[in-house]
Amino acid sequence: MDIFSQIWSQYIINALDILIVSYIFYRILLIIKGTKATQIIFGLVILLCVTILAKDVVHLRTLSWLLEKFWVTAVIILAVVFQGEIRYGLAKLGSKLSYYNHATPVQTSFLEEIIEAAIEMSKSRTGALIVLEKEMGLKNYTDTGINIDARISQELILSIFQTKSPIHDGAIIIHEERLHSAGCVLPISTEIEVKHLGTRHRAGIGLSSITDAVVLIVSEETGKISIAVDGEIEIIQQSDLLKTISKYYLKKD
Amino acid sequence: MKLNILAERYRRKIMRNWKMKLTALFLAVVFWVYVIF
Repeated sequence: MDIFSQIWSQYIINALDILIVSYIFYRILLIIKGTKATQIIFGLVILLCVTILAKDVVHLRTLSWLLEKFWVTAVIILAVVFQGEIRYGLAKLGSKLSYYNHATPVQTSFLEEIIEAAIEMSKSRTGALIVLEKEMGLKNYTDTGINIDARISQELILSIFQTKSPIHDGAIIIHEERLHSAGCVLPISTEIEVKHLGTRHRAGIGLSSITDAVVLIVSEETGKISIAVDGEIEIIQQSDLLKTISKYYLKKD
Repeated sequence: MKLNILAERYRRKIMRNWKMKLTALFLAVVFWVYVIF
């Protein structure tokens, strides 16, 4: 019993401590990834290194005094600079808690617009690739396309994917209920089991296997609508589209 | 068979974003060392 408590207090509790802190860091990294905060944090780290160097290594008095004064007011500066991110993070935390309490009504109007567009494209056999970003940032992929940042509407999606459009050949990425980018290039799955599928479907599987995004694919050949989540793809009936997409999109990891 | 699919799904979930998870773990260890010592 004594050995157990010794192991508990020496190793397990410390490991638990590190794991909890690393989870917090992970959530913070997820929030700031792909935002302007990344560059700001990088700048702050450089400034921190300079402060340590100036104070403890090179002993530059004036510079270290100046930098120390900066760090005193840094909390306020950070709160102002990261205002958006802090608000977003807290809102996310709040929505997560209320998700379990089933308290907040879920906004699905933008999903309805996407689904109506998908059904329309399915009828006209127009290929489409729609990515719904969840918690993981997709900046790497939005950067490969054209930035649009528009309110989602069925007409906008249809005009992007019409075959004469110069950006119809890539994916559109939905970020925070807005159409962030179009014509984006996604990573293609190289798994043998999906070799028989087309490039669009393989791209959907590829992205969903490495991120938590939900990918909606409209086949150009058959007009069937599929959803790729967690690296797996399934064909969805039109009547189940809203239910299935809402389920995957609102599901927390 | 079902268990295999489930295992594969969880393996993907764990391996997804592994660089960021590793970075977070590294930062936590650095932070922990800083606090302890």
